[in-house]
Amino acid sequence: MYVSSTDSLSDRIGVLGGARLLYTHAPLVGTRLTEQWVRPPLHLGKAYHEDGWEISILMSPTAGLLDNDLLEVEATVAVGANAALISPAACRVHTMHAGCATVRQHYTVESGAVLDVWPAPLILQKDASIRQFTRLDVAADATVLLCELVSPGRTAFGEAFEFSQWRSQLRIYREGSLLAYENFCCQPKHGDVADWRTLYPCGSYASFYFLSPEPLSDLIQVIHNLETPDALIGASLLREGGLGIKILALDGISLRKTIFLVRNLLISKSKLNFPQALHRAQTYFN
Amino acid sequence: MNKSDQSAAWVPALLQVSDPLFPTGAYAHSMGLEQWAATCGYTSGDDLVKFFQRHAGPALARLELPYLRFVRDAIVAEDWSAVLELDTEIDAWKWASEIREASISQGRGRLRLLKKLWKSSPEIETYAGAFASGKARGHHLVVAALQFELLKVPDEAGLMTYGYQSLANYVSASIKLLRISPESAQLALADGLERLDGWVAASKSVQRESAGWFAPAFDISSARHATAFSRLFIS
Repeated sequence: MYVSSTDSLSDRIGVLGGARLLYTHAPLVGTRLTEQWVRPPLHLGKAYHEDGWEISILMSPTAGLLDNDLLEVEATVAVGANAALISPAACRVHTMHAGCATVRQHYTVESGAVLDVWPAPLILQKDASIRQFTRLDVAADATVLLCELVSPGRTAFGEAFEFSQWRSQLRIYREGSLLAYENFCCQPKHGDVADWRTLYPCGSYASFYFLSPEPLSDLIQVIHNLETPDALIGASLLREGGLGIKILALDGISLRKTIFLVRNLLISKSKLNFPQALHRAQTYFN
Repeated sequence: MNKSDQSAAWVPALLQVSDPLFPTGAYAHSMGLEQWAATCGYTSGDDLVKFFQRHAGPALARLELPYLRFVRDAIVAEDWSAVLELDTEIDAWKWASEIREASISQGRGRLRLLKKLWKSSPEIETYAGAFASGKARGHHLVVAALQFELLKVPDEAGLMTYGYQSLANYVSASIKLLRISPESAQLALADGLERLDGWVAASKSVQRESAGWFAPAFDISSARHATAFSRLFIS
């Protein structure tokens, strides 16, 4: 972890919590959450099972993150297991007078396993500051749908791009080789993300990474055809397989519609039996 | 400043490798500008100036020039595993596949010619060997760093040259894309070059863990170029 010179010091003592989860596959029962450790500001709802999958619901009892909070999520999907991590409510990064919240995530998806990470949007409120570190380790024949949604503020109230900083680092490794790397610090007051703000001044952002042993090159055109005046969408092949998809949308509703279309397309392409719960559009958008 | 600092022996060779005559295939790439200009409705030299200020310049300062410096430092330290690691990292942060392949294509072209021009360079041989065996990706940034070290170009001059080439490549593409006059293009380039010193200076303080740039709309546009109905450039 690094601390930049722009970070202010806060007196608040943050909450240090998170989850450590292990999903394993048993031949007769399907996937089960066989090890778990959870601590606020994260709450893990009772998992439910559908079509041999284990679906876990992650929530924040504080409805978001405050300065100096640290959230660490580590999830492993063992050989042949099918797991999904979803959240029913947006995670607000609250207004901070100083300090910064930190989220660390590490997902490991072993051979033949499937992981669907579908969180609700992160809402970057006025003067909010957050650092995210995400690492994904994937076996060559595993399938992963990793999604991230970001709203630049409480846009329904006219708040957009008033957060202090959004720092994010994402590393995706397949069989130990670096496949995708994102690293940035976005500070709107310094003029960052001018491209996003020019196209959609209050718009939301979504990023997908889809890793699958299936050939995916024919999906690019199909995904690009989903573009509408209210949602700009681009897809690109990663080296040695896999797909990155980015979406910018006019508002939450447009983003929701586009994500729903993209997800169902990817699920269909995976040739896997995703449970009905993961086909539904979630309802957390404004 | 001592005599070796004042020597300008590196200048002619640097001019040669920086000249548009040097066949790296850069003329065939707009590096994302073609689709972005269409998305934003660019029509003038002023639009190009805006593009430099809001995108090309900050991307140089916060991402590309720092990586050029990291690679060159690793070459000087003869740390080839670090060079290859940086090459892999560059490959991984070039999200749009056309931009990634354009970088490799230009790097490969430059490497091929450097090998012919400076046959006795162990650095070039080492990297070319790694590239031939699939251990190196061959990104243009890495080959440019090799070239600057080979020619003993002072660090800051190397950063300035890379920055100039990046801006000039956009200007070259814009003449065809925006139908602006050569004079308008040169005015836009001059504006960018006036700011280049600041971007180079800013790049020097960027550390490895914070080197990066986020431009989601530009990324989306660059990806969409691959399936555009019509286009002039490969990227």
